[in-house]
Amino acid sequence: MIHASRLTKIYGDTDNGVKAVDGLNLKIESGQRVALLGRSGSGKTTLMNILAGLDRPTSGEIIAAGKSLFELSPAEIAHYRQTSVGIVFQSFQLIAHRTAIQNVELPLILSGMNAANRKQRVDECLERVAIEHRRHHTPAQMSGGEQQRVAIARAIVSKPPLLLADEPTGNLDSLTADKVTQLMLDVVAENKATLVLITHDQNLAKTCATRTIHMQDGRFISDEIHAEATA
Amino acid sequence: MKIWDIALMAVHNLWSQKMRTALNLLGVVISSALLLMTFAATRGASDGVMNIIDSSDQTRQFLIIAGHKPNTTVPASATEVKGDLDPAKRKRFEEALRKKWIAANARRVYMTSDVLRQLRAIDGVASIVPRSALNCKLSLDDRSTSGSLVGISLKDQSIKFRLACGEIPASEDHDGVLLDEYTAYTLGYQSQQQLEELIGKSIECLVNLGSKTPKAANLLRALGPAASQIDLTTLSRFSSSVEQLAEKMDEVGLTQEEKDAVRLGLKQLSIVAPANSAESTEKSALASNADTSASERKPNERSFIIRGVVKRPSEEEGVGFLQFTGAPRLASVYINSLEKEPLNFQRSGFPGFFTAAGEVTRNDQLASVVGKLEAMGLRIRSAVAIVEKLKEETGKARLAIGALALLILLVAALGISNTMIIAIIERTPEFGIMKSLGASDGQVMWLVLLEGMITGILGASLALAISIAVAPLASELCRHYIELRLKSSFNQAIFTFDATDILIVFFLAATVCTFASLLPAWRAAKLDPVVAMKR
Ligand SMILES: Nc1ncnc2c1ncn2[C@@H]1O[C@H](COP(=O)(O)OP(=O)(O)O)[C@@H](O)[C@H]1O
Ligand SMILES: [Mg+2]
Repeated sequence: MIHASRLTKIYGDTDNGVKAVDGLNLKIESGQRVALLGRSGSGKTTLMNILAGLDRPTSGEIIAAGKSLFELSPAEIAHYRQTSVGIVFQSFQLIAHRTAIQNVELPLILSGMNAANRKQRVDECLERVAIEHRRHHTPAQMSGGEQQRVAIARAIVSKPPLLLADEPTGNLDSLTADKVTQLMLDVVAENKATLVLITHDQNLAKTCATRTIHMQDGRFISDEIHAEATA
Repeated sequence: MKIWDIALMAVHNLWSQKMRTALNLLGVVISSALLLMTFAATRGASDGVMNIIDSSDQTRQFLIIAGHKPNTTVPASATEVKGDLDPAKRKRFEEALRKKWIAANARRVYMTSDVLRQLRAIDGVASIVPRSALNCKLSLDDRSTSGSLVGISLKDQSIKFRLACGEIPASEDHDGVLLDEYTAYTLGYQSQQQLEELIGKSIECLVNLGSKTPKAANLLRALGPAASQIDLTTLSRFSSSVEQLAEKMDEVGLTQEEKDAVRLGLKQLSIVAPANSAESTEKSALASNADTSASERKPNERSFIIRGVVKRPSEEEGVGFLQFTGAPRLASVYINSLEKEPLNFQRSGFPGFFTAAGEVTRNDQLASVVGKLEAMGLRIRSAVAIVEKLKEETGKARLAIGALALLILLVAALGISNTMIIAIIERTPEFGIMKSLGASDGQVMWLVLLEGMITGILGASLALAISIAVAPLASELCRHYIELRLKSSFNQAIFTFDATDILIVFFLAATVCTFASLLPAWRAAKLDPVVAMKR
């Protein structure tokens, strides 16, 4: 469960800067699949970065995993990112000189897992996203869809309770996008994880999320909880 | 995250950026190789010098000269320099006056039998051989010749190499002597076979223990330091006058009381010797002029047994590179110094030996033995100062060249730091991603530091391999050059790779490269992941 209150993020100076996130209160229950909709520039990414512990809000607080996130030390926030959050970015963000295996392995190396366990976990995850045949390929040797599947494998390899995805299919053709989305929903379901999916696809939100939030100018303009989604 | 995994990741990163790594390695390799080669060359040089020194007998030998009782307090009035002088000049004059006062007043330390016993008891002393020769008349069969008797140390290796036949007398062999080959020749033993026949024969030796006539040398000694105030001609004339006075005492118009007083005085000053002893000295220039007519001799007769015949040393053999003891003495008969010394001490008024050659068992004992002897008031000539100086100089050269090479390494480090910073900027997104995946600042920092450290160690390893591979060739070139300059063959190793030096180079290379990546590492660690990933 994540509980954010009065989150504000202002870029530039406090008086006449850009309010990317404007006094948001948000409570996400464990296992919820939240679709975050809104036009470009409405503050979705900013909110997600704050939830991920990648960015600090100008004011407000987040209680995540039972702790007030922004009262933690940098090392503790790093640990939070390592253990509690998995992120899938629009532009994949794979390390160019590392192969699929090596990219997926990275979070496990950072958490200090031993090599044998790491290999097993990575193999499982690569198999899960159906990319075993590309395990020794570097990002440059893979298609966009393949890269995003590797990125998903990397995001779930630590089995984080919260998966954040920022327009994960934005760079993919629609056929591939559907496959990738389905894959992500499947793994979230398997891991019983909470999902926050940023998208501007209304239908996608309808079909796969249990909750849909619309954002505009840093505020929520609607917040609906559906019955169990049909996904 | 385990350090081993970070290290593996660092190796992976270095490998994935081959061009940059190669560039950095080049700098480290060049400077480390320079450092290694200079260390190896300076160690080779100092080892070479030390080998020459250690293998030389001369660094075990020293010359002892009679001195003055140590710690003599010189009265302030004696060293007072009047007038308006600059302090340095005053100091020099005071020192000169101090020396003069000591020469005139301080008790002399000669090598008496007591002193010799003390010297020989010092830990590390192998032998002490007073340098003096006694004149003698030698008779063998029915022939005789005049010659000299010189003491030697039975441990002296150089005399062993001079043996023409026979062997060196054993230490408990009180009568055993070595005969000079030329003396043997004058006594009629010429062929090698004839020399062999000499072994075991006895030779009669009539040692000249000096004249009973007072001689200038005795007077010189009696006058002591005051003698230095008188020039030699005057002294010589004064000496013969005193001699005449002593001889013609009855013819001068002195009262019996006056004559007795003069006699007693002369006797106490050892100018007139007691009836059965007189002396000559080996130190005085005047002594050699002294007349020694046969009728006045008080002979001491000894019979020796010839144990060996020795060749004469050639001129070059005589004196070595660090030799302070002078050329070996030539003599007709060589005898264990311990057997000869009592003959010298029999001479009345003999104050003790003035010079002696000493030897220590191992050359590392030289300095401490010399120190002890000097503390006794003896003056020592030895290679101690030269050896110390050589060690110090080679040490300094090592340091100076090492500092130069270190400077090169530091310049290389600047270059490394530079390429590292550029690489970190290029790799900004990578560090952003790592941080978004939960890498802490410390982990990122360690990764970059380890990349630097591994570059250093890798560079040093390559440098070591290259240096060892190049050393034989460089050695040949250097040897060729050195031999050209020395005009003789040079067999010392030129490059000596020492484990300590290698460790030092590895340590320096690793440290310098780690420090070079400190700033880049800090930059990478402090990156804002959101901003970094946007790049
Ligand atoms: N680093 C930044 N500096 C200044 N303004 C920013 C920065 N990041 C985002 N913004 C601004 O904040 C607002 C929200 O941006 P963002 O969260 O990226 O929106 P979205 O993801 O919904 O497109 C935008 O107006 C954007 O221009
Ligand atoms: Mg966005």
